[in-house]
Amino acid sequence: MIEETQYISQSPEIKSIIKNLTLTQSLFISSILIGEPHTGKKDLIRAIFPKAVYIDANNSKELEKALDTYNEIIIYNFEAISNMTQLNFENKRIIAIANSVQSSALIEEKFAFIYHMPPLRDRMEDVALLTTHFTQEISDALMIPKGKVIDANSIDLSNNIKSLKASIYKQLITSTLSAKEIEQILFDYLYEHIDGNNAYREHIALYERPLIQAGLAKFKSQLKLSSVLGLNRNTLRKKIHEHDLD
Amino acid sequence: MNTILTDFNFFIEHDSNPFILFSGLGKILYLNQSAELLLLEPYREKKLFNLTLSHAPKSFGCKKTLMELSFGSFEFYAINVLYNNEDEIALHLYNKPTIKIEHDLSLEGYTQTDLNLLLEANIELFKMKYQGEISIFTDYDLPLLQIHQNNFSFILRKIFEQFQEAHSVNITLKIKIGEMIVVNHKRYPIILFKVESTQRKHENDIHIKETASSNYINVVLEEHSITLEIPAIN
Repeated sequence: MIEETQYISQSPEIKSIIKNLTLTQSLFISSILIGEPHTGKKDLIRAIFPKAVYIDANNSKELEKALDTYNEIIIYNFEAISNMTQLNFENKRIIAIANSVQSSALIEEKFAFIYHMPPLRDRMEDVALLTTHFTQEISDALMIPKGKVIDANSIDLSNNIKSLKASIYKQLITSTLSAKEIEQILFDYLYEHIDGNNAYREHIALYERPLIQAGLAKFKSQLKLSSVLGLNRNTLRKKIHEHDLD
Repeated sequence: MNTILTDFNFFIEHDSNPFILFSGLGKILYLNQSAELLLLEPYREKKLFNLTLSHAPKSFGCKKTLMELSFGSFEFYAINVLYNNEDEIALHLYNKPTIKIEHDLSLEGYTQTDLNLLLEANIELFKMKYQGEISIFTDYDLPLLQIHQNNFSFILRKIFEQFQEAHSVNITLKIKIGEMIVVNHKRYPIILFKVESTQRKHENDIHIKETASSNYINVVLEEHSITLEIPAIN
């Protein structure tokens, strides 16, 4: 954990980026941080340069004006810039943030310091850290008791921090639902979807499938589960097969 | 002949031209301060002794030879070999005139800079990709100097790229004693920055030379090292 910048990371690559950005904080140099969307680039820069002027590169007029006015500028969405060569970075502290680059050669020409932000899937040490952090934050926001355990295998990292956070939200919400709330969710869903002439059969899986899945996970035996559910063994086996649970 | 009776040791000791006195077998009996810097590099002692013998006068006396000589960033235009007995032989090397950079000096974009800080940041950036060992020798008492921080960082990045595949690199940053650099008719002390290893790439050499030159920096490109001579403009 890099406490001095209040940025959560245990990744050695990110620690190096933070160290370097901190070292160059007072220098008039051009730097760029490149990485996939939602990897925490802007938060990292904001932790080190909290008072700088932040400009969205999509707004070219505002960017031009800022380059004429300020000597310390953070430019985010830098990939949106089409006329990079015309930008005057002379005698300024420029930190650009980009999700991608069109031309590495141009970037090398324009920026003295080039950093690459690793995606979340390449820094599993941060996944654990961020899961703990967001679980606490989301539990507070949803006013649910702390201590809920998040299933690490169900965390989605495909969209970095954004999908990680969404996974935690889903897990925390579903883990605290009462029977009445589940019924309400089912009601809303079914109200939206029931139609045709075979709706009962089509939608019974919403109840049956999780019931059998949970029973199998809990009792580990079809014999025991058939007795708990009060179903004939053959009926249970048939339903397991119907729901592709065998 | 000059007959003044005085002790000349002090004057020789502080002469900016290197002076070395060898025994007949090549052992160094005395060297002045400028020669100490020259002999910091390994194997130079033997090279210099061989140079002395090959340019010695045929009999007692002295022999001055005009020649272009360079040892790293040290460049000489002449040597003088002297002996008046069989046991000692001296070599005097004459520094080339001070480095001159002829462009007009424009300090637009230049900022008062702690060169150690700028170098540290660039080394940290290099370390993010470099797996080998880095030895750093820097003089932390360097004066603040006017430098174009961004352009200088570009030069350093290009230099470090040349050593990306070396097993280890030695980095030195210090004041070069006894020499000055002239930029636009004004003399400045020289800050010497050197990166050396047992191997390096050469493809950025021209680019480094051009960028350095437009930033009033003299570059010495050798097979295994790159040296920058930076004017300490304050």
